[in-house]
Amino acid sequence: MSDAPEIKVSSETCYTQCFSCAKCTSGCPVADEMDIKPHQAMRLLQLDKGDELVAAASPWLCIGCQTCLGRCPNNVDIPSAFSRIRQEAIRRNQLDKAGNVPLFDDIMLSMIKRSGRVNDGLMAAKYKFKAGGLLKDWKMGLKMLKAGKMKLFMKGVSDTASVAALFEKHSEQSEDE
Amino acid sequence: MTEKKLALFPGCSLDGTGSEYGHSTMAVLEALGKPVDILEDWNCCGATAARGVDLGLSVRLAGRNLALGAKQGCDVLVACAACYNNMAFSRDHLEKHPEDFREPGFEHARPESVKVFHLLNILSDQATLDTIASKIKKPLKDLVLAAYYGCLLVRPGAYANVDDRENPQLMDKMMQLCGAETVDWSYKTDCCGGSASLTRKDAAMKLMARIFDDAMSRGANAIVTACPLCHMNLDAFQKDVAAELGRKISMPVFYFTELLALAMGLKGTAKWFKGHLTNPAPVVRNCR
Repeated sequence: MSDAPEIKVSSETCYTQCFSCAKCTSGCPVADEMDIKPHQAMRLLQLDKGDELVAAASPWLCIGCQTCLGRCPNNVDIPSAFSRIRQEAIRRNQLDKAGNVPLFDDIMLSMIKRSGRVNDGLMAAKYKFKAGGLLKDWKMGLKMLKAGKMKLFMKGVSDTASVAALFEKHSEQSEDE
Repeated sequence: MTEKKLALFPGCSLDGTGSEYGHSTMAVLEALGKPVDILEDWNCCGATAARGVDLGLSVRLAGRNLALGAKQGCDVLVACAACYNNMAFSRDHLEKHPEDFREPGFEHARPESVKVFHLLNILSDQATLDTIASKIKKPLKDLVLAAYYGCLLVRPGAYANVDDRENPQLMDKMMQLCGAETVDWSYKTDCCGGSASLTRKDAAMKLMARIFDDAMSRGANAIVTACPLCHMNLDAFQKDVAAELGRKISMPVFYFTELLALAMGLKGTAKWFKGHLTNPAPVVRNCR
């Protein structure tokens, strides 16, 4: 596989240990929507066919609940493997099945990078504005404002430089060991 | 459990949409004689965004908080289930690979030396349960609770500190101690789809529909949780879920700390309940 070595799924995810018992898929709350089921995804990695996974919808459908990991007899960290796959899909700009997930992640990460923290109410509004749907959900926004859940100002980190520095290693250190 | 002082890592939700969890946590810890300081200059744990696209960044963001704990001579107490999971993941990784957190300003801080506890663990040892029992002033009469642990608090086994990963009882026992009834149900550790409620609302609605359907069928009149993401999700979208389910839903969602405070007769509950989108007043009417 030409591109396979570039897919840096950490050896710590233990995907080589998967023996396809499919316990992960049985318990996955979103498996019914997945084009490649969790146990099939691990098999593709074993066969060096990670490219198929990068192009698939499944990594973007995973909601990160870790039910698979909690139940896996071999401790295969499927959510972390999917995280690596998403990272690779972003690097290749192969995002046609990603939906609005990258937009949401970008908004959240840029908030963290800037102030060290996330104003979750504002983040939701900002996402709605960019993704469309702010008008549709204005009632919810109003309800949240009224309940005091939406805060216009939130205190950030004092030492923001030390948080921004954590983002600098984006490419060099998040690779496989 | 810990010899060191505990510092509370509030996380972004407890400052924002889950502020009643933050306030009730501080009130309960104070009342039980376990007051804590806030971890100084804490940052976001990286939440779902960092964990979902850059594991290294996720480890470093959570790692900075652990390093702050090391510098401040504290172990870290976390109330949010998602933050707890990220912090425990980071600690577990840094224990094996301390070289992955080498940050200027933190040269001598060893993040992996700091222990991470979830609030529920700190409050469920026998001595604390005895103290809680001795302080009950207003038993939670007529409250039938579905104790909802959600996903991230109980997984994975390597660092989840619960009595049973598939059928935990910690919160059930605590609520029974407060005079509430709890139901035996099937979805207490199933994900509510909190991370997808904005990006893929339909998927989240399906997951929530199963949770509400089972909780109601078992006779619960409210849900109690230990996660601000679950709370936000289950509290805010009941109308949409009702449409998906074809069944009316009116089920207040509480933080377990709010109910502890209510049972112990602490001040503040009325104010916290105003922050809920599903009005809790009808089900706590008789807890006075």
